[in-house]
Amino acid sequence: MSKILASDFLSHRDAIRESLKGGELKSAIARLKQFWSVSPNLQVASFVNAELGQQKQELFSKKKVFVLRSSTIEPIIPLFRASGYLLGFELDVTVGDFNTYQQEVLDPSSLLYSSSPDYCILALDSRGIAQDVWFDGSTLDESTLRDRVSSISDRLIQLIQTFRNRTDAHLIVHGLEVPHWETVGLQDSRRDFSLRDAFEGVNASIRGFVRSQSNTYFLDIDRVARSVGYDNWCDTPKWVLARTATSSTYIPKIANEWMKILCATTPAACKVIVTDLDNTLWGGVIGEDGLEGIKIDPEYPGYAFQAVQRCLKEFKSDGGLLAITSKNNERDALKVFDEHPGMILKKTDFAAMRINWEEKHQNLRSISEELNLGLDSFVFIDDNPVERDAIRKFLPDVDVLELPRDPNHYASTIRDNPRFAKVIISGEDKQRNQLYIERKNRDDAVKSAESIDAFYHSLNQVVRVVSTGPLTLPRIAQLTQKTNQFNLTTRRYSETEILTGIEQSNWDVLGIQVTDSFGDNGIVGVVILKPITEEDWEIDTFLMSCRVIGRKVETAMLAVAMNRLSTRGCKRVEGWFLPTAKNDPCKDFYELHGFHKAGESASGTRNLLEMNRYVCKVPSWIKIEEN
Amino acid sequence: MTQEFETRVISIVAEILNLQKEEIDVGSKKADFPSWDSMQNLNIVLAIEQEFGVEFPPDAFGEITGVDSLIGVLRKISA
Repeated sequence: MSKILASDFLSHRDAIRESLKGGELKSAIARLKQFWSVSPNLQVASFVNAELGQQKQELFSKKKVFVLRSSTIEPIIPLFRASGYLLGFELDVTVGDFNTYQQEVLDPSSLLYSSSPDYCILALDSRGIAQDVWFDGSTLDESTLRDRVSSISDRLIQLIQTFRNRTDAHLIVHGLEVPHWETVGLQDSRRDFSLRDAFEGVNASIRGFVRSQSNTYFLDIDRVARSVGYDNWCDTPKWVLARTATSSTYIPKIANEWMKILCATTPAACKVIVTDLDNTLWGGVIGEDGLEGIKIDPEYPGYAFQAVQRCLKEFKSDGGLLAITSKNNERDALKVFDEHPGMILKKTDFAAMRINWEEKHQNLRSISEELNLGLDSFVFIDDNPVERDAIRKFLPDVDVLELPRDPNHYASTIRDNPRFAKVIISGEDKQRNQLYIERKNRDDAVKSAESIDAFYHSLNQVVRVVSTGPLTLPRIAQLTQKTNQFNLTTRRYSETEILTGIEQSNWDVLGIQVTDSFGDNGIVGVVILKPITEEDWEIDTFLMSCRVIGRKVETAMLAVAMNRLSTRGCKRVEGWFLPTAKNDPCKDFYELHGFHKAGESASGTRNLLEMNRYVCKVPSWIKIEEN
Repeated sequence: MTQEFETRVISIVAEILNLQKEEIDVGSKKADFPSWDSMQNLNIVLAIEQEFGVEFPPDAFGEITGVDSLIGVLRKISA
């Protein structure tokens, strides 16, 4: 699809409205996403916000956002809200008054704090906060310029620090745009400390400070401006007239950058990219053009496909999983991986492959089963619009990337997609691929083992409790954020919340590490125990990564928890099971482990067990190590 | 071309102000719609710029009194 004109959109929007009325929310969203990917403009945004704003609120994850600003950022808000809806978020955005960002941050009773936002965006711009330097900096003497730079940096860092002291909300800090013109006579370039140095200096200080803070992210606006070219990015007349500095064509980019950070800090991030091969990973069709005919090299047109492969490689090295679904003879396709010198991705980069003549939606389903990950954590990449439409139709949970016609733009389309964004990278994420590949070997072992019992014995599983500390807390919090399937209560916690619970409310937080004969799975389970009275405790959180589902690890985890509780003098333990769309795999957990149902509410069931009735059912083939 | 300009501009204004197609036509004035305030006026201008790939000159802002003047400006700058 090329650019969609207002009149084209007009003819489609009634159809979309109809499908929304008919309750087909997911397919309407899939269709809107297509429009959005080619025309992320204010018109489409208004439509999305009006239509999806009428849908049931529980369909979207609600986030409160507060924007502090020094310019007119209002036109960005509808774009941001629309992209939120399309990715499953309902954004409740408050914009602070013009240029009151300092008061908002410094006054503890300001609306910023009283509205308790999930996200705050400090969207300051160079012209707004350093107008004198921006316009006249090149004629200031160097020591004055240096003084101005450090006072601007200090002021901003102070603001960030104050904010951080008062709230755990995520904070997105805009960097400053750097002046893009040379002064008359190349004067600025001749100086020891140029105007450019001044703004880059402020950015470097803020970036450095932000890195040292948790839940705080630096948004390099100058990078975004450079990517489109400053002359395109700036609309100076509009800044003079309406205090909006970015040209209308590129304001959607700012909304998209905000969205990337929002996605990166929620479980909406994509976990698996499933890609096609012909004309997606390489140019041409291997079955027709042969190994010599396909295009994948540093020259035209093969370089565009190498760029796609590099993007996928980046995604994988950041802890994402890659998979293939392609209509091909498997032998032909694998030969490309084995023999073509231009290939950047190797066979071992993929956690699952379906190279066959099956329908792709069936392949995606079976990949989802093999990897034990829900289809809503999948993004599908395919050059063929027909295949894309089929996936939209059959598997509306899968996010289908709308690729432009020209393969030269495939890579930037992938890079700009907010669902691939990630900020919390624990060492564990990077290992995950290795873990899945080990798991693949494990699954192969299941097939070959004579009996399942013999297999379990051969696993040599060791379940170990790790101490809660700075090294393990990020992973523990991350698991509460990301785990959907084996999660009894699906309560999401930040690091700070867990730490506060331990310190102030006497929580017992257990990180569970599992090793087996194939390798170290890392921390794969979390149990959070909360005292109600001295003798009554609640299992607040009990979750396990899908990496170890089906190996009785949960039984061992419960044994560990029960042990802890009895040393603390607990007599009765209770736990809720709160059903969600995904946690079916653990719905019988309490019943299977001797708890009886003691209550029920609209959100779930309460289960109870007297400690002296507990019977440990840990199989002999799991070893438990407690410290 | 004129016809198409009109349809596209009307559709943008209707979408931004959240109006039904029947509520707006070429003769509609800014003053007729309480929701067409200065912020929505900016949004309308930016939406038209995005749609037509143009930039409204600063002078043009003062000339916007309704749908017909938006079309007039657009015609002038894309001529």
